[in-house]
Amino acid sequence: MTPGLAASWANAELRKQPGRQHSERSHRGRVILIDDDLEILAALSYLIELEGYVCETFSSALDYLGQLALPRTRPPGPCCVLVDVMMPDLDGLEAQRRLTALDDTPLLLMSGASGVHEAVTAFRAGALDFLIKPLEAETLLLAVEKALAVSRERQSLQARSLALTHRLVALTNREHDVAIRVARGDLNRVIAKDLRLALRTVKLYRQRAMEKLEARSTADLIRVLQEAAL
Amino acid sequence: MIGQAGATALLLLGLICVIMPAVTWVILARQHSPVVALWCVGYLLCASGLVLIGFRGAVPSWASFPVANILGFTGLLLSIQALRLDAGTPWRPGWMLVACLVYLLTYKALWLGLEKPALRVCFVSLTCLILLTQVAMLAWRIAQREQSTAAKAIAGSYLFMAMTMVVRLAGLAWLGGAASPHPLLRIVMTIAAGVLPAIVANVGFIGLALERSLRQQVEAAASQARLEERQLLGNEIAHLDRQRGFGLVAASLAHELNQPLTAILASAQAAQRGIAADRLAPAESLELLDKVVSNTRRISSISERIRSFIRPTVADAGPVDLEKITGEMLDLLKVDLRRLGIRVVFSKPALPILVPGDAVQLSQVVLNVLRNAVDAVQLVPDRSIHIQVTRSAGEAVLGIRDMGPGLDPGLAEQIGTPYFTTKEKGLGMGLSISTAILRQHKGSLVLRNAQGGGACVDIRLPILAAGGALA
Repeated sequence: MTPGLAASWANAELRKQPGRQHSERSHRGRVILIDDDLEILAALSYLIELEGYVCETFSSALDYLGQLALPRTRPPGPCCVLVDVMMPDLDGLEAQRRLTALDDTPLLLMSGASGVHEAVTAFRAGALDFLIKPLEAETLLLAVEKALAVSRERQSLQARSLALTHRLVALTNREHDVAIRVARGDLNRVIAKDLRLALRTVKLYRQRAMEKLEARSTADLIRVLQEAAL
Repeated sequence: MIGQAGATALLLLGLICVIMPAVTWVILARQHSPVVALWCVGYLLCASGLVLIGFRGAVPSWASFPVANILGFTGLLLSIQALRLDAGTPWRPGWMLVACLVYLLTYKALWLGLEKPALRVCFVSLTCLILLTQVAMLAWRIAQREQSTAAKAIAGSYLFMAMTMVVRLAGLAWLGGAASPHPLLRIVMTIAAGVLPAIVANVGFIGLALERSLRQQVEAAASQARLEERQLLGNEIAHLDRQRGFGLVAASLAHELNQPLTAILASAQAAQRGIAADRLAPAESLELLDKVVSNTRRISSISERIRSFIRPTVADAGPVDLEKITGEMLDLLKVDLRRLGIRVVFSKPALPILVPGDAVQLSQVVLNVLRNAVDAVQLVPDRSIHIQVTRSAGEAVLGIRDMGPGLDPGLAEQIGTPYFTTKEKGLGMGLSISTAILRQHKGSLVLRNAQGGGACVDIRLPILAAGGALA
């Protein structure tokens, strides 16, 4: 056996191997593939897995929605959904509507018919891309990569805003009031007068709020509060 | 001498009156027409009358003039009857018999009661004049109606004979009963007034019959040509309708073709990338190649289905398996059925039911009916279609029932007539084409409201027995 072939065998074994390898791949990205045609599911998942992503296949959007409804922790890492528009029990556009109502996983739609109407509807409903079957591997993988990047960005944004929310929650009411006014640009003196506090107390609250929000400067404080408001 | 010459003239005329109808009969006997028979018999009677008169003196006197006259009268009556029959307004035979009797009695009365031969001759000539004019008028009417020169010749010759009667009557009135015209003149008159018109009239009669049969042949050929043209046009329309029907399912087919194409492209490109990056085991490459092969086969089966559906066909005589073509048409509609969420319940017969006919044309009928059903069930929540292939009373019955809104009774009569449609984009040709195709297959299509709602179409066709013959 040539070394190349042996390596390829090993690689193949690795691809099939669950467990640690799976979680590594999952980190790279997870593609949820929904199509009623089993042949297409098989072929596309091959192509996607070959690129080192995890590919979960569903032959019906209802199956996937049912699985989402189960109380289960989702594997970490970016994730996108690639769904066929023309399906018997629940078509792609309807699936898109239900999925976007559930979470903000980026959606890619694919269709055999180059229906302008469907494409427009899909984009209006926030689809990231609309792929025409038969899919070019290049196009598909680029779209998947882009969708996973969007997912990653959304996830990190979500994580940040979650962290910020945690920090905001840690503020007392007074600290919060003071922080808001500082962010608005009010002077300590004005804040003290407004809130009927001693200037010293205002300074203390301001100091504590900055510590709790992990802001190093007033400008930092303003940015943090703005992000949290998102 | 001259008296003998007169008799000879009459005999000659009698002979002509035998020969001419005989010729007519020989030529037209094949037509087996009562008109020809009446015409010829009429002439023969006249001829016998003329011969009797020609032999007057040689035969008993009761047999010459009275019998000859009644024969002549009856002969002319039959000629009239022949033409009336031809025009479709024959006299009743009873009336003719009565007329003959009346004529005979009147003649006898004149013979016995009055010793004035001039009056008798006058009576005979007058009746002759009336009858001849009658024949001429009838022939003229035919000539007018059919633009026939032959009929004009008949009319002309009888009119000429009638004119000679007028001349004779005028001569009688002018010269009085006592004197008779110069015998030589009588001979010339007899020949001119009898022989020539008899020949012309018979030739005209033959001509008329031949003209008609020629026209019939031309018309038959024309109608045959029209029929063939219609059939050709029918095939053409059916072909166009098939293509149109195909156009309607084309979107579905495009999707159906795209699925295996997608699988092929993805498998092939996965193999390409995998091999290029040295990340694919041989077993996996084989697996991918298998996918390419199986999906290519899937495509070729679809394209075969399309080809067999739209090929312009010469009508074939089967056998056609009703269940099989129905299944094929359901396959054509598969994508639409799935997309629209339509449930199809197909009860198949235990044994295949074969019918004689053209598979493509019958498939077209089935597709038309199925498409109607698909359109109908879209209007209601219960989107299901029930299909059944059965034998009933020696016939194959394909029943397609939809659970749609059914037929509007007000429109029921118009359904199936060309260009009638209730659909926005319909041409209104589907059912009429289907009906026409089934008629060609000695079958029928019945569209009715089913019990319990929805419309039901029954397609009935003769069953083909196992041996290939009609059951």
